[in-house]
Amino acid sequence: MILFVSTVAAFTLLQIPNNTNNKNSDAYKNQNNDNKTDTNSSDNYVFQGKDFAFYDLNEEIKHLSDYTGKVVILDLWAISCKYCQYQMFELKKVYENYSADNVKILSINVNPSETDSYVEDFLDQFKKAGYELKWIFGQQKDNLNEYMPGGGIPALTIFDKNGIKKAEKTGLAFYNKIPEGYPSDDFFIKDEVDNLI
Amino acid sequence: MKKIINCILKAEECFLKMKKIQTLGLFLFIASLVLIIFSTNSYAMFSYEVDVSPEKPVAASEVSFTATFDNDSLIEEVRIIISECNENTGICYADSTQNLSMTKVNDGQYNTTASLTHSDATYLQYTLLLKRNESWSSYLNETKVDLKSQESNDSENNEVKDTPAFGIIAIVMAAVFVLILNYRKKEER
Repeated sequence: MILFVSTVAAFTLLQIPNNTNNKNSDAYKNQNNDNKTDTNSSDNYVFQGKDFAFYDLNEEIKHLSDYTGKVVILDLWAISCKYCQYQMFELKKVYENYSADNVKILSINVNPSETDSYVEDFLDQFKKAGYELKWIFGQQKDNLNEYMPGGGIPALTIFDKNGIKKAEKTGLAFYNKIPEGYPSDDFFIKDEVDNLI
Repeated sequence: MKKIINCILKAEECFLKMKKIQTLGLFLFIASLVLIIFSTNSYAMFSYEVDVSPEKPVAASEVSFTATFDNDSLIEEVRIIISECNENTGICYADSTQNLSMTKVNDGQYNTTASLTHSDATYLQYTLLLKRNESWSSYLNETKVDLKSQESNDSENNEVKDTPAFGIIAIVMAAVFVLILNYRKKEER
């Protein structure tokens, strides 16, 4: 009896470290190198950029500084802008190829006529089509005109882990390859993000 | 029940009564259908079209939109949302979005004028919004209207200004022809 109990106890104790690793497995999902330990703790970074606030779809106020320690891709868009819709496909590639611990995508709608319910309908349509867009969506709170030069959208701005603006692009930006028929471009989201991670 | 039993016993009289009941029942059915159709306002159908003037507007100019409905009895308000985009650069102008109220000018006809703001826009797109039963719904998917650039519009206007020269040439030729005819008549005399 004592032998049985001690065997069970030993087995249980041996399992505990494995369970701990499983809880963290989602944090390493989609990471390119699974053997790397996470050195991107926000404690290592200090926000040094120009902060701004926005509303998420739960109408909670969020800030750029909330994502210190991560590369942030700010995507200014509107449902009425078809190029902004195309942009979602390229941003999905970013979402699928980088860990959420390293890269955050903020898609902020800049059309005041497009309410949260419109945005949710839009996301629902994409989901039904098999393209679930799982990153952060929100509505404009602070004036973000400086991030869309000339008022054009889609407008991407990429911030480093300290919140400093490092790259920007007005018009459709591609992940790493320009599809056939589109004009040539030397801006690729993957290159910009890789430089900052 | 008694009536039915009596009907069975008095066949001919019964037949006539049943026919009246059937006719009455049919009338009541049709009447209730009509009432349902006309009382359920939200299901009233209508057709519509939107005219854009000019047909190919110039960028950064004024554009007139006229929405015509064959039946606007249930429409409370009409609005139109317009935005400007550039197909060459693949951008739309966030600050160009206008949400305009359309004014009723005639039965079934609503109109508004928009001032476009971006000289480098190559097209505008619009969506019609209708308010019925105190709720808004959008009709027409986004419709695209190509724009002329200001430069191409200016060059077209210059060509128009040059055409009077053809008129002058025609007058001169006509005058020369008349003079030649007169000269020949004099020679013949």
